[in-house]
Amino acid sequence: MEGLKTVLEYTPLILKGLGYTVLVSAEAIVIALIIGTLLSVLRMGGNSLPSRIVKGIIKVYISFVRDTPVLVQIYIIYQALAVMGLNLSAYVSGVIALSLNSGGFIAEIIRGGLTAIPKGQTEAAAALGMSKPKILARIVFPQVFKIVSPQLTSEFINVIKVSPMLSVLAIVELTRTAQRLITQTYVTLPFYIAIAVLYFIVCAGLEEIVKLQKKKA
Amino acid sequence: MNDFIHVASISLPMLLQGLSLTVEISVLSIIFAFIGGLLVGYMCISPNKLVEGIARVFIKIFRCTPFMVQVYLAYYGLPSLGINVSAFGTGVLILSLYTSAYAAVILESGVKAIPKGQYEAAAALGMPRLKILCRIILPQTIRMIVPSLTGQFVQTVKDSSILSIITVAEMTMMTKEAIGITFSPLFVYICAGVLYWALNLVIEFISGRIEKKYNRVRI
Amino acid sequence: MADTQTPIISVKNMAKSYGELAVLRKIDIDIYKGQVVSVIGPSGSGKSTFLRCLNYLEEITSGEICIDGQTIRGISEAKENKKLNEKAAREIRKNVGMVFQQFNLWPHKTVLENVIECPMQIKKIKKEDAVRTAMELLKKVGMDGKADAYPPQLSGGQQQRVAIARTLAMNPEVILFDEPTSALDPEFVGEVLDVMKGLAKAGMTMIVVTHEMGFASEVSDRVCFMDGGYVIEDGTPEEVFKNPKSDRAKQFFSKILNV
Repeated sequence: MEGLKTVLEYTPLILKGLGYTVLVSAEAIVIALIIGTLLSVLRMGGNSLPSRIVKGIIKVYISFVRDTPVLVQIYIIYQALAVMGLNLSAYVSGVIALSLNSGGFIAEIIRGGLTAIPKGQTEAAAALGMSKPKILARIVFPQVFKIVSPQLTSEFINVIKVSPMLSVLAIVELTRTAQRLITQTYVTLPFYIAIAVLYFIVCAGLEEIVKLQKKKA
Repeated sequence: MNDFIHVASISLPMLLQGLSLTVEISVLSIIFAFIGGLLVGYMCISPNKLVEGIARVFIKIFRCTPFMVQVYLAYYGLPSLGINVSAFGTGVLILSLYTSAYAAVILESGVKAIPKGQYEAAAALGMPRLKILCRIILPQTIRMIVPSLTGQFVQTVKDSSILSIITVAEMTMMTKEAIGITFSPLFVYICAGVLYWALNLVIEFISGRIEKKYNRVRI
Repeated sequence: MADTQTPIISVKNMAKSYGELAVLRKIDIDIYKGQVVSVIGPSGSGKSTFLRCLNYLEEITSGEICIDGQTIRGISEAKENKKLNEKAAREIRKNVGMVFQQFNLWPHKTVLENVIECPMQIKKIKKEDAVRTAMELLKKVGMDGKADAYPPQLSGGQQQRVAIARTLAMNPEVILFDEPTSALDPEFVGEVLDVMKGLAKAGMTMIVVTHEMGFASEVSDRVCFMDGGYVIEDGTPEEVFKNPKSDRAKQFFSKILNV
């Protein structure tokens, strides 16, 4: 009971932490969407040597992103950016790390969506004289994004669920906020329970949206 | 160059030691999670609404909160419940519970994909429900979900890295230790990344072989 | 010939509905040992549902079914009926086999394994005995050459013949056939009907939901015409096909005979 009182005292700070969690995840998912789309377009290239090399690099990139822990990726990006002499804040490094990670997953989601578009559609557009970029921008991708919208929301949930790992870079999102308050107040469990409930509300809420999107599709 | 060789000679043995614990934790957790998933999945298809509800709540809680927060909750929560286990035990326990929520969903969707007639044919021949599930439904389900289960295994290997925050000496934890000695974080982290990558590629390769074997039998 | 003393299956006042939708309204029928009964009628008339109620793949809403001294009762009549029905169904299923439209062979088991599964698992028969019986049955349906094949490797007709052998392996007194040839390509219909004719000749009690009017008139000794959840006509093939009493049956026959 004491613990609960302490937690309630710090409600504004906790909510601020939640705000940062949502913000950092939203920024990451938007950049990831751009990265994922870009990777998908680059993967469409023909069989010329340069485009084969590009495709190979992308394949390796996606494989690495999907097969290694996000925590390790966060450390690598943070250290790599520092070694490159870029004087970026931990926050920016964290957003970049999450975006690069999620971008790999989104590229795969988009690839799945692309297979659902009949070839005849691009052929029809090409026969009408549309240029390739125009076909992608006006015919293909609008449909793909519609098809994969439930998966993209699920990916947003995933980003939120991995965002606590940014606490290792001392980014003051929800989990880091709780840790700070714990060292300050010597109350531990109630804070972790409180943030677990908040994460649950956000993620379970987003899952309802996924359900709605699936119903629409 | 000499620097790298020096750093590698110190850190690689440490990383490999961590890797073996990562493998151990992952294998234990995926086995426990499979058993747990069977149980929770079985509850999900129970005709008893209360039993089903309990299973659904379990799944929802574990799937809708970050694993890292679950790890902290288990680490600080278990002792206050009077349960004193090692960090390793806590890690395996929470990773198994978390993974079993996902395994249950995979199993349930697999079971639902089996045509109803498969069940009815066995029921019409007089087979009891549990026997139908074990001998007719489950063998077919498992063949179908091998890809998803391996995907989950890869995920479990990755999730195990988070146990480094509660001092389980798996590979990510050992990476930090090695960095403490060698002071070359980027290189050692990349080494760890490559090792995780290699491990998961091996898992995916083996899964591909298993899948092929099943597909050969079932034309 | 048919024993007309005591019915092996006796259905009284049976009704079945899904919520508001009544599928079977009132069915009264007695079936005797050795009879081959064809159940015909337009789709949606409740034929398959009727058959599936007999071995409790569907619950009945009201009325009762007596088979072999076991009774299944409507669940709307008393709460404890559900539990009692499940117990009765376990006994009934030992004596009543079923052959499905979609065969429903288990794809992860070979033909032989499909046939020996239940004798071994339920009747606890030793493997070599189960295999011997199974091979005899497979020979009877002309499938002994494919004992080690997996079901997806077989044609529909072959699968359905294996499904019949699988049912026979449990030594049932009655076999229910739920449109056994409807899912088959035309060239495979004959081989399955031949096996069924053989069973009929050997004196097996059979209830066959079918669209094969040829089979119904040649092989069965009794034809039931169902429509709208009732059995409207019930008699010998001669009576039902040549002199249907109801307009519905007349309409139905004129339609299918014109096709």
